[in-house]
Amino acid sequence: MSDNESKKLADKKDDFELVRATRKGDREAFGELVRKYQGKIYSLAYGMVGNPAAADDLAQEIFLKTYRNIKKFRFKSSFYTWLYRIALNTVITRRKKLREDKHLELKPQILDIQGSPYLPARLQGEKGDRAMTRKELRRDIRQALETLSDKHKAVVVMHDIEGIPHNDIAGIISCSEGTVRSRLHYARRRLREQLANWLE
Amino acid sequence: MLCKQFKKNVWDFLDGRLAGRPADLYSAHLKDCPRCRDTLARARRLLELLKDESVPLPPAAYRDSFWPRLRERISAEGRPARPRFVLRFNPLSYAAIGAAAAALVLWISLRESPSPFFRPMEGRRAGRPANFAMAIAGPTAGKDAPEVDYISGRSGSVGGRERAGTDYILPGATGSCGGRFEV
Repeated sequence: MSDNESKKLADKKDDFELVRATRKGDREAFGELVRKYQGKIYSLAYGMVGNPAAADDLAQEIFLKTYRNIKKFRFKSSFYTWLYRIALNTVITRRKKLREDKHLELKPQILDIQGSPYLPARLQGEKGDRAMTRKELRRDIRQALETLSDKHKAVVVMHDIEGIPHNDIAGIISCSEGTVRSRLHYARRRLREQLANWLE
Repeated sequence: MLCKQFKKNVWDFLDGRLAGRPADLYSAHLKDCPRCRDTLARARRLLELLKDESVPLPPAAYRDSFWPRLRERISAEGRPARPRFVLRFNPLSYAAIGAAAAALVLWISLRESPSPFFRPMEGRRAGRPANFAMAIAGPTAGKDAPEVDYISGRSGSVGGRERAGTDYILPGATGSCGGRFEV
């Protein structure tokens, strides 16, 4: 067993212990789980909606839903897979609702490069034209992502942006790895067309 | 290898899913084909752009406040709810439910609707008695006398005489029947 696999197994056991404790009423155990996964869940939500405030709100809702339903967790998959499944369903439902109430539609927010509290550390030093180009690139990527359906967007966000492997994604969205790959290929083809100017 | 095949497998190649001979063919084709080299470069660039599109992480203060805010909401709700009974997909349980539903439908149809063997003559249904007594107006004998249908070929006894199938009976006859009957 590789180091990576043994770490995964140890993580899974730890998570199960924390879930059991939460089910017995230990809220701090749930707090541990939240601290461990809040970054990943926030990232997923942000990747799907492209708006930091909405991503924060969604992350809170996802963990709240997870807490409410924690007694339904059957210990058959890893907690992480189950949590991601809840997260994805919550995000997709929210996006559907927003699409139905057109006037409430959430526009991806392209962040100002300077002075944003959400700015990644590696971009903090960028100034002038370079920063502007970055901003335009981010805007175009977000717009290109918005042209995809939720199911295609979800696999791109999880695999190409978050780096989740195919088999884990298959577990999260309950389909085969082949389906994940085919969705990914389709979505990438669309993105390549949309972002052609940036790929010169 | 054709350029078309190359294009089709470009993502598998970049995901490191091509190994052995297909990977060798791929590399060989790349050496000779500038168009496919360009295709690969664009695909690779796209993946790099997406990787760079990693999420801007909120500051530490914000991250630290995430759980306290959530804990407040959880405290307002109380303990997690008990799981409700949810029927999960299980072929056996669906088969059992199907069989039970079919049995229920059959039972209701036998109970409510007249049997195809019944031939009501005066619209009077005798129900499902084990014993019966009838007082029928009208002709009392011969072809015009009311007839009773011992349904489904079950036998019955009328006036102490064993009968089966459809038969004529006399008014005021008494007897017993194995199943339902109609006059």
